[in-house]
Amino acid sequence: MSVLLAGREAWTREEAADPAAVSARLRAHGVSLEPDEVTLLSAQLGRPPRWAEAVLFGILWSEHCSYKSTRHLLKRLPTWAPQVLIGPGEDAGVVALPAPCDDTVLVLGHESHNHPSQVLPVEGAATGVGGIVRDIVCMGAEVVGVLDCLRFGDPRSGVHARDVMRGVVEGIASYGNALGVPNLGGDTVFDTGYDQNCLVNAMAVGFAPATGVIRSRVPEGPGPWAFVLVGKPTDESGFGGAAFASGELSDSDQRGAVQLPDPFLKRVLNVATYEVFRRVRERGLSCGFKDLGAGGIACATSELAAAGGCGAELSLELAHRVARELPPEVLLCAETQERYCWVVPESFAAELCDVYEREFALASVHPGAGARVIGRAIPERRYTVRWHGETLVDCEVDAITAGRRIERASAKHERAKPPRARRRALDTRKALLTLLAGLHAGSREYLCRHYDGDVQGRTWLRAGEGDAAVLRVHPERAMGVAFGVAGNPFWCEGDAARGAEHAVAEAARNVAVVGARPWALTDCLNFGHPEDAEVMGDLEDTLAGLARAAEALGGLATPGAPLPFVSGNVSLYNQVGRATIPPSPIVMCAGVIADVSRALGLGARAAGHVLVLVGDDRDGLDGSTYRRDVLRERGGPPPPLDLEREARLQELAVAVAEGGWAVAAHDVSDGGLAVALTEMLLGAADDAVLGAEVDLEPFEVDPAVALFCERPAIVYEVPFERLARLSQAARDRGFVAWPVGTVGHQPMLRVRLRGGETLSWSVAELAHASGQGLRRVWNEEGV
Amino acid sequence: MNGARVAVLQLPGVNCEHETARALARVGLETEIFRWTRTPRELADFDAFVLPGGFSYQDRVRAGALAAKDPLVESLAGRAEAGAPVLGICNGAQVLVEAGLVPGGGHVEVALARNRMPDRAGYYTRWVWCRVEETACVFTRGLTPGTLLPLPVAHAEGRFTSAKRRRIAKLVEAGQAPFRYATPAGQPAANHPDNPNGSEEAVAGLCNERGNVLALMPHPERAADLGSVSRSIGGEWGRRRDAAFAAADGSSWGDGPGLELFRGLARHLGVAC
Repeated sequence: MSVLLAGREAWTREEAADPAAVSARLRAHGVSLEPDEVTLLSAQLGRPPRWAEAVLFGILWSEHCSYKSTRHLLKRLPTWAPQVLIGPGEDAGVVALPAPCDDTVLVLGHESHNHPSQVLPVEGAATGVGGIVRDIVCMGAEVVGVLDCLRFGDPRSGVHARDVMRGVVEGIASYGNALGVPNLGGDTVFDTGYDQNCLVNAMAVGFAPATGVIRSRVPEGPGPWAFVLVGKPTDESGFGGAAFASGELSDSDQRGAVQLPDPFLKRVLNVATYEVFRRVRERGLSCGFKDLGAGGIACATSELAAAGGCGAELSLELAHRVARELPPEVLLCAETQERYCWVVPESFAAELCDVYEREFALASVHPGAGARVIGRAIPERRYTVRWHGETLVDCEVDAITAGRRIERASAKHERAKPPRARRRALDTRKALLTLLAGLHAGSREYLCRHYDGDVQGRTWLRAGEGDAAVLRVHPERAMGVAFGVAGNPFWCEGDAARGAEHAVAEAARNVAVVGARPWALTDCLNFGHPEDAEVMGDLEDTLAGLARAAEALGGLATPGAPLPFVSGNVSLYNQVGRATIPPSPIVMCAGVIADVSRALGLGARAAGHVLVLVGDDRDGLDGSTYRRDVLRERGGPPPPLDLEREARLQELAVAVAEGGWAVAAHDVSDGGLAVALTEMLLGAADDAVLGAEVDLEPFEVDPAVALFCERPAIVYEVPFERLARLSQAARDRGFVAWPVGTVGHQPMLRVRLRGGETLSWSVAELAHASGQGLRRVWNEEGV
Repeated sequence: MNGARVAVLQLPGVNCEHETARALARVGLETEIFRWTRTPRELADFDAFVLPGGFSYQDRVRAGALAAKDPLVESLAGRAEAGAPVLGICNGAQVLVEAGLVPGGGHVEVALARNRMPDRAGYYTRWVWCRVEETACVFTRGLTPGTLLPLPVAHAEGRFTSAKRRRIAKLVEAGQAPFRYATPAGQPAANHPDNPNGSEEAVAGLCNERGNVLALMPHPERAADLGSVSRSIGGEWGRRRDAAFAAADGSSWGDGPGLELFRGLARHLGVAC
């Protein structure tokens, strides 16, 4: 943006008569205000805004910050249950843990960084992790883990999709590893629908003392309260980032709107911040704390004031910033990373600055980094920003908090009928190897090994070792927390509502399979243009599906209560021209496990154990990876889902783990039973020589259905003497526990199918095939 | 307790200081995290030193290169010379090599070069087997040579190498390689992934001649709980882990393989544990 006179009017009263012209002119200067917003802003201020005000409101009213197209729809999600302490609305959600960890709370956040990652994959993904980490820290928590859900284009569609994948993985790894936060997993899907719009959803989790949660607002009481800006010196990076994320990607160079990551500074900033947490708790000081994200200083400070029911006066020239001259409205709204804003008693402000500037010598870590008092809270509900005495912003706080709402038309998304399933004689033996060597049902190990999953020393079960990752809450206590994710875009494309139900059900099932009680959810709704009625139709169906599943699956935390969504994000405009992404809700479920020594991994343990299948019948290939990756047929509905039955299945899963009746457990997911069994064998200990002898003949179904059906189910490895207990527990909940086979000493997977046909694979050939696709795509050069 | 005190050096960018301090405390050592803004003089109050993992000084120039010039690290040289135990884990190992404290003599003789792995480059994480070798190293005190410990590695530059031919082999022969990557069966691991980074002679940890300074690439502090040993690990430790799970009596959060090393330090310092 060119240097404008920030204190001058952005438009005159005369010009306001033609809001469309004003809107177009603003857009040319990088400010996004719709014509009706031009009129609204003049009305709210009672005068035309100054330039800095136009910039500020352009950001506040952007889709990214205001959720103006979706806020009313999001109300449909259940957000309350007794364990919820803070639901959606703050930077992250907070849930209580049961005794003996009731002195600790779990903080959960979920963000997307889709547009930046498409344009600059390394930096975009890294700042995605950086942003969600700040959201957790600003609640007063220590960050203990991150997860990431990635959706990439088809690597065969061109060089760019592959470069985006490599860059995003590198960005996540380089940021998270350096920051010292363990990566707890996530998932990765490839589809041509993401060729021009990759998705990078970053989730983070933290622990805080139950009495130490800090709100993002000016505290109650007379104060006097000082606003203290801490971290990196403000520059122009990421200016306009919120507007960038609220529009379609274009061919013009938008790299300047992507923020620049610095995990090294962030590490020291966070360590220093944890020291401040310790002091304010020790002394019982009231504080407010917020991270600087979209809209930079302006959004953070005005929202802190507004949430505290007061006003603020800032002197922007007091903020530490880079040496080069920058226009004040840029300093006010740039999205420079690695910054926070404190609101503390004025009497504590000097000591606070001293912690960052002297005790942790921030400036020696990054030139110009530090902590400065930039303003104070005032009782009147006015928000003013001055720059060397000149007024840049002067408005009612209520104007800032008054949310925007846009009515969007919605229409049922009519989908093309899927092609009729072709009947072909296929080599079922080869099909399993094809699936394993493909990009969806193959091992993710190649990617996971880029990420540090062990730092901080809390990790109990790592990504890939079980259906969910498990962390211990406290070094001297048995309790753990588990995290699982889900969101199958192919299913959502086939049926947005049922696909969304599956996303919640599978995320919760992953957590239940390891033995944890599903406790809370986070989500991100990744969609195309809200102006497109069919996109809005999908969004409405998705929310209905998410809500239905969440209402049904909360019983393991609190009988009768829903599984609450405590944090979330909406990312729209993931569309270029007519090419929109598939409806892509992505769900994380956090769970609580009373005793981590009961946490079930997925790797096979010992010969002689029985393999037991519990869940839906092996019936049909709807939505299966087999149909997409082997038959090359796309579309069609996802598998059916009975939520009441799903709740019982998850209850059984927790009972099995808590009872210690199984030694391994894995849910039947991408690739069906055959892939689940393969993963169990490949997950065995390094010196184990194990195979499986499985009999699926009693199912009396087509071999492909028996092996590759993706209807919800769980495979257990059970010592024979505990089989009766597990079977009884299954019966009590209306399930049949099918003993489908045994773990054996011979390193083969042997499956008997309909009519006595028997297929077998050596474990070595399964291992060779699995993950081959990812490895190949990663290492390919050229087109 | 005889009052032996250990300083865990918190240089800017390190990120394993807390779990390292926790592991040291578990074997009965009095431990303090020592921040980079304190003066080198204050290090005199400590009997042993640990440089934890992370990315000190952002790995600028080369991993460990800038930290090696930090006054705190420079002042460690004298203490190391006088026999004080110094352990560098991962990034700490890179610092000790860059500072010329390992294999010793004050000049840089070996390098921790970029990982060399088939079909991939850069950062790599995995649980691997480390075999204890017969050396004078103080950190393996009490451990029988041939003992196998499963430990996680997580680094991009961990390949012990030297510009001088056979230098690493000679160090192994001289008893300065107390830890070598091994196959699950206990043989020195020549190949990926048992040898995760292509390290020469499968060296995972190298010490000075006297045995009081150890540069170790794997992370023992992350293997402090028996039950958190990766499920991919079998052998004796895998059996102990699974037995602890079956017992469900709290034994799974008993001591893991990584603590053996810190216990060796405690024994050396005369702290009962």
